[in-house]
Amino acid sequence: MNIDDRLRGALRPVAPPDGFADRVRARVARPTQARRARPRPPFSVPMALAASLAAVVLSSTAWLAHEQRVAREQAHEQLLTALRVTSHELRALETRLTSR
Amino acid sequence: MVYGVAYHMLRDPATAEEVAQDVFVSLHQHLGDIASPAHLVFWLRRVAAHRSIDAARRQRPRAKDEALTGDVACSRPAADPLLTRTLRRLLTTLPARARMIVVLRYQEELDPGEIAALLAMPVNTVKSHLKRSLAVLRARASGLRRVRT
Repeated sequence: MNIDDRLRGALRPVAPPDGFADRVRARVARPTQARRARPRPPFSVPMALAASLAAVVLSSTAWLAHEQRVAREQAHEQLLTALRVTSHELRALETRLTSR
Repeated sequence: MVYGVAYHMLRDPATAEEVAQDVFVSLHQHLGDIASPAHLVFWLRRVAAHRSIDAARRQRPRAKDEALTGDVACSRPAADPLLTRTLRRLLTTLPARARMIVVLRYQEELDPGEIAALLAMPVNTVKSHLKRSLAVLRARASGLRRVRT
């Protein structure tokens, strides 16, 4: 017997195991039911991560802007106080000089 | 046909069944693309061949050895069970694509042109794979026979 016949003998057709067709039918039916039953999440995990990252960046930017605005307002207030004090001092000095 | 191709390729009944099920589930999804009974046979062979090659490449070497301990029932009894088992074991030593060419040639009785169309490769490549695989199998089988005697 040559190698061709031996290989034909070794590779004879094989029947699928019992219940194979039923298992295929069950698998064909399964994904459709699963897709119907399971509600799809509104966001995927990468989208949720990206959204969280964006929220962190935006909130820290807003916080920085708020801090800068507060600092600017404080500096403005200090300047006005200094000007008020200075003009008050100048007026007092002028009054004193005039009275002499 | 589908299960047989997967089984002879993978030598593991569970993985072969998984692959065969995948092929039929995929067929169910592509039924609209099938134009004729001949096209259906071609489609099933092609998808079964490619999925079996992929599964064989993923298969652990140990799984193959484990699978060789048991054999499933074939539709015709083997003339020489020992020789059959030896040849099947030697087949697992061939690279995945070369093994599939041998399976398609000797299980499905396809000629090199049909195998080339299924696997999308040149006919001459199929012929050289077959020639090389048969030479390897012949050499290894005779080596084993020498060891046994």
